[in-house]
Amino acid sequence: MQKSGGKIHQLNVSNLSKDFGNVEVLRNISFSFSAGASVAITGPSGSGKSTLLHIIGTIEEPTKGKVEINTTDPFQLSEPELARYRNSVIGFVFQDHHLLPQYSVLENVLIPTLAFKQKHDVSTLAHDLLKRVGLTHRISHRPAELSGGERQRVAIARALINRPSILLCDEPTGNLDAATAKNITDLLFEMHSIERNILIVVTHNLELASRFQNNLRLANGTCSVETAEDS
Amino acid sequence: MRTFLKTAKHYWRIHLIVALCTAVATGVLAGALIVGDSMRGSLRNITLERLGRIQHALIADRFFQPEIVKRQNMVSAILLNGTVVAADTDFRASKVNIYGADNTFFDFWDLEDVPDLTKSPNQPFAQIAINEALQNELNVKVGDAILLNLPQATEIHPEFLLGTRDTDDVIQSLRVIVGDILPTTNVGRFSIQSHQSLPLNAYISLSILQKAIGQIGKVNAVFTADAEPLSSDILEPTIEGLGLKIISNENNFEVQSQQYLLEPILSEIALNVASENNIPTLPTLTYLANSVSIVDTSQQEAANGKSVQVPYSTILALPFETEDFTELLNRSTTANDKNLYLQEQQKEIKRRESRDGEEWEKIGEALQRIQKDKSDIQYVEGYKINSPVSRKIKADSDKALAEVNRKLKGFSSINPLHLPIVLNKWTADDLDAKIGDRIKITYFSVNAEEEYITETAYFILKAIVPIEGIAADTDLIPSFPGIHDTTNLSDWDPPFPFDYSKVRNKDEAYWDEYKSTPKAFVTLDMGKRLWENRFGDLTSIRMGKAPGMDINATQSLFKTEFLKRIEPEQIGFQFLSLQEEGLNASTGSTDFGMLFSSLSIFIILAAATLVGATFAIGVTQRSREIGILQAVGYRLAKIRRRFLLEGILIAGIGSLFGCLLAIGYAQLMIFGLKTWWLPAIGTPFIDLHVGRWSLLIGIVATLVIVVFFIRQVVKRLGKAPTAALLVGETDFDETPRKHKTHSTQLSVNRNISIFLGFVFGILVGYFIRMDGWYGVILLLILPMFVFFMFNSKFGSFMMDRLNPTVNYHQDKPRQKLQIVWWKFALGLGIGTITGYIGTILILSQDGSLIYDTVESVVKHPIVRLLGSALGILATGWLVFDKWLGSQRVPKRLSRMRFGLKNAAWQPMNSKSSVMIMSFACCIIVAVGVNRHDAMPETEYAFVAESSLPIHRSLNTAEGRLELGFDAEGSELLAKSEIYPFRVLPGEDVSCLNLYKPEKPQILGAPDGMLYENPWHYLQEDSRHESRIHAIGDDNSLRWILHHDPKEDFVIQDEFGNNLGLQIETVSNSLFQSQLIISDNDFTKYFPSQSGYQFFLIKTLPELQADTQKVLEKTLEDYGFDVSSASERLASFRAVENTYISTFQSLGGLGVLLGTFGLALVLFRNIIERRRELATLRAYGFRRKLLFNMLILESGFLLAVGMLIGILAGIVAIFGSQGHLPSFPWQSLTITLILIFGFGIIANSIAVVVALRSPLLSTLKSE
Repeated sequence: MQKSGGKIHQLNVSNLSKDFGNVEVLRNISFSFSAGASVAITGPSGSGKSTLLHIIGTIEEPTKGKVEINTTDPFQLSEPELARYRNSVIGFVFQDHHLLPQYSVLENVLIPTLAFKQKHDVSTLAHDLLKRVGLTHRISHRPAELSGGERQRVAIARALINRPSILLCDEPTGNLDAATAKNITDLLFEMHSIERNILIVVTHNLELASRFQNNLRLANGTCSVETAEDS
Repeated sequence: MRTFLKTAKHYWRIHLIVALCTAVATGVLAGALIVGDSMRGSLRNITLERLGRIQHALIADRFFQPEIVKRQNMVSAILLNGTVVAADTDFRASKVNIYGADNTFFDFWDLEDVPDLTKSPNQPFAQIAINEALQNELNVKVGDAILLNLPQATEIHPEFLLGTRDTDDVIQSLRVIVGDILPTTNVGRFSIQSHQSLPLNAYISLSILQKAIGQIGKVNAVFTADAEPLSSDILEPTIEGLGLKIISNENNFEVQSQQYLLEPILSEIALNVASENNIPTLPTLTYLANSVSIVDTSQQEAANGKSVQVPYSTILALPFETEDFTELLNRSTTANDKNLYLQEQQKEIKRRESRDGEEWEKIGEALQRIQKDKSDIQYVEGYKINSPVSRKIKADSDKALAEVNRKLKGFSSINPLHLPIVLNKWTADDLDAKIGDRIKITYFSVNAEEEYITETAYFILKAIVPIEGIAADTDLIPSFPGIHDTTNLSDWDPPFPFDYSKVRNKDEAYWDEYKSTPKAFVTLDMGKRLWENRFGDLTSIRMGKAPGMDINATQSLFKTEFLKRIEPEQIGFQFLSLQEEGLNASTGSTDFGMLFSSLSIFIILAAATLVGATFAIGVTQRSREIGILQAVGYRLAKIRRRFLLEGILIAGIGSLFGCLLAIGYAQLMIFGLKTWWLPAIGTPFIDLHVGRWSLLIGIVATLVIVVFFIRQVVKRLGKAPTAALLVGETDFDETPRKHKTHSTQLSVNRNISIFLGFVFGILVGYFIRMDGWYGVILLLILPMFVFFMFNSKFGSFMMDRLNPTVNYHQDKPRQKLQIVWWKFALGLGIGTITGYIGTILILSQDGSLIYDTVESVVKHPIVRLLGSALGILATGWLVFDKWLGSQRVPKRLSRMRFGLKNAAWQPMNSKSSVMIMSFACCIIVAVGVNRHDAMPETEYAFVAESSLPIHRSLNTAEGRLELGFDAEGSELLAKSEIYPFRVLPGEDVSCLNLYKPEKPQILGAPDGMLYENPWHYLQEDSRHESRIHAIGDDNSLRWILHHDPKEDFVIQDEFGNNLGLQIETVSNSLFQSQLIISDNDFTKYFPSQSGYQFFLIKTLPELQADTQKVLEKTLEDYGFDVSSASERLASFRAVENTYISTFQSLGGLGVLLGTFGLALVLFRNIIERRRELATLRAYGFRRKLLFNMLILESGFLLAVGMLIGILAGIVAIFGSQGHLPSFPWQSLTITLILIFGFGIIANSIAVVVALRSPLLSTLKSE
């Protein structure tokens, strides 16, 4: 077990299924990861990559099966508990950064801290994160004034502000050119190495996927997990 | 169409809301216009109902033989105003229209049962028909006895010396039996005045009424149903009909009046006709002297036991140069007499000059004092206009000036022709008078209070003539009522005080032998000077033979020519097109259609906003559709057209449906006017009248408004790129406000500095010029303040707050600050010079067109109100905009700031919300503050009106005794001040009359009031012929008479001439129903009006109840109604308050609807921001937190808007009125809390509904 932000990280997914009406997208999927694990979810379009990511991120509920994060089944929590849980345990980085356009870079990074009262000085942490993602000079700028790569860096910083156990990235480089995508990927790994959380990234990019310790391949609703030691 | 139907079916919910909102807008607008239709229609119906088939009328202020009207199908009647008392219960009603009519009069209406007014043989009293309104007042039934108190018709005007003024003489009582009760429809509503209130009518047989008032065979009105208007051509006046008589003698004939004095207009025409036909004339004026005596010798005479004065003598004023009289004088005087007279004449002139000199000195001193006071006023006003001190000095000096003017009026140059008097031999012998003696004559005159005043005149005896020839001619002397026919002098029964003890045997002997033969003669000029009054200045015109004609032919010629010259309008006949004038008046003084449209404007705008907001949501929902249409090659213009057409079609359908709502809305408003808002119309008479034009205008106007809103939505289509639309982004995402660069911001600040400096400079220049030290002080303080602001930490802090993007203390702060500072100083300098010169050139030119225009515009209350309101609103909006534009890097991000920042992000939406709310609240507050809930205060305790004119003074013990007050009542009234006003009947011009008045009621203000503001204005000379000063209520003039107070208001005087009223306006006065002129002008231009019928009463609070009781009881025969002056004012205010209540109700409803609109905007806003909200959810924001943030955001906008609006409303009222009227904190606070609460509730609903949709699913990109 590794520590990050004072938390112990463990993700267990067992017999997870998800269907949309008659269409079964995920079927009896099970896997388990611990802190420090980096996971790439790959598979063809429509294979349920984002659905799986959203279920792990508690944005979507599974039809069957169980997700346990740090021994907690989030889907058994009440709405406020789930919100707090999501706020403290999960960090999201979307393909489309989903930065709030009206806020500055710093404000965007701080947004997750507003959901609940914070005991520690989040402002220092935000500045620290922005320093780490290399955006100190853009601190008061708005998303519209940033490049695509910079926006995604802000999104990463935002995702990490509450020091989550799991960092979920949905095609974080999907809209970026190769060079920028590489930079972002490097950054993700860099941050992951610092935070030592569970990093799960959905990607089509096999080259990128190859850089992760674990590769969770989805096809026809089932998944196979390949680890670096396996390959 | 097929596409439209399919789309309509798919998006039916949105389209239904759009159509419903349009229907609401149409319904409200058309409904409001229908209220106007209903008002006009109802007034028109009342007019048609009250007049029946009567088209035209001839109304006269005198009684005349109906035969003089040469037109067929005329119906005669008598119209009187009186009081009615129920004999058994003593219930009474005043201001009752008493009509003397026969059955033909009722033919003007289609009556099933014509009331029977004939006297039943078994019934000793005549029958009367009364309408239900009067029945309700009297609480009587058929068969009950009632007493009518009618004005007694007298030949001689009651206010003349020989007129009678006692209650018994001026009021005729008549006992009648109620024979019929008429419904207050048709003839039961008949009135020649236009007013929506129910008249109190009583109908009595014409012949019985004629007999009762002593006018057998005469009437004062004729009516016709013929369409052809009546004009002066139809009248053939007769000598008798004009109240004249011609007395034929052997060689001449006399033209005299039955009213004793010849009416000025008639004597003028008679003299003109005679002059044109070379008929010789002898105009004379006969008056009655109380005594004739010799001055200075009276003591001696008394000691000798001789007569000291000759009582009650007829004095004849005639031109001394008249041939007969000259001949008599020559015969009676010697050359020595003439010299003696001339010597005494010179002595008298010197004596009078000496006396006049003393008077002049006093007047000069008074004028000097007034001049000093006036300069004191200027001095005082130089610092503080309208200070209490200046007002006091002005009032005192005005009073003093009025006194000087009064003295000057009585002061005239000494005319030798005024001095001579001729006595007949009998009188001269009686007085032992000789040529050159000073003769003193005392006589009565009637003052403004209708009291007899003993006046004195002094003469020099010029001649003593024998009682023969013209000196013995009693044909020149008209009949004195109560005197002429008596056998003995002691049998006289004159209306004036008569001291029988002064009548001696020799006076009786004179009467027996010579009757009313004049004992003294003065020049006609002097006679007129002493005795002329508003009723005339001649008592007789003797006419001789025209050249070549005998006396009969001359008389015939004179009569023919004289009657030809008579213009009926000059002698009080009025030709009225009752139907046409009534229908014209029924268009109303207030356009209720426009009024209710204005009152409903918030609802209309709110509904239109809702249409826009709903339509925008519909378009938002169809973003993908727009994207697809664009992607497949539709041009944007075509897509816009398609959406626009769709909107028009939906709105059109909604509008048609709105017609039904319009009728319902109008019904609701009419119900409101009959119940909740009854004070606005006084009587619940209004019925629904639906005008096609109103519906059409409602539909078209609403469509125009709604389509405008839809077009605004459609115009924004195509802002988002097609690709974005295809992935579901909406077309209304606002482009974020661009950052202004630091340099741009600084440049803006510099320019603002110049502008502000310039504006302040103009003010400083103005103050320096107009107020001296104030301007200089301001000039010193202002730069010091600015210097402080730019050079202190506080200033930096403020600048930082105002311009967050500029760091003033970064790098070279002093340089940047100095630039701003110098720019401000430059602007201030230029502005000060401009303001100073501008003030000299424009504003100091008092009286110039520019000055007057600037002054009138700046001082106009509406301009000040709008200026203040818009100023504060604009400032508020600017500050808010500035705040929206402030995008600083936060030191600490809080949830509160997070919510507020969202509000700032979409500035257009936020600004629109704030502007709408602030504007609405501003109007609600400004209107609400004008509501006067407290009972208004006035210095007068009561306003009283009497149905019949009162001719005695209520302010003197004698007058009260004559009017029948007992000692206790008289003593009580002695503690009150009563101001009597003369009344010229006319229409009510206050807001209580819904008809459009044309002929306002005119009041003549008593002299006693004219020394105070604003009444002294009535005393000032207008310096124009046919133009006099008047006072009127500003609101009545502007809104009821629709007259610009700066223009003369033209009325017709009694002689049919135009009379311009130069009006000074007053506000919120007791005189909102009338226009007021001075008593002097009143009696000059309306001489035949007699007595007083309107009274203002001041009394102590503890005496009010008793005073009211005593007045009403004692003067009940006059129909004396006393009402509280405060309540009278309150009744006027009630109308205003009701309009305000109506506006507040409808405005409040509109604002509530508007908050729905804002909630819809919020809903749309949430939909547009769902990805943002989904992201927040993904980061752990609970729904409740999102809800709170969104409500905080919308509540913040609501609160800011309301605060700006409330502030603007209060400042606007303060700006226009200079003070805050009684502030209705309670009702206003409740209204505003309700608006805020409703807004929060509406927004909460919108947020809940919007957040209910699965937000997180929007994050899925696959």
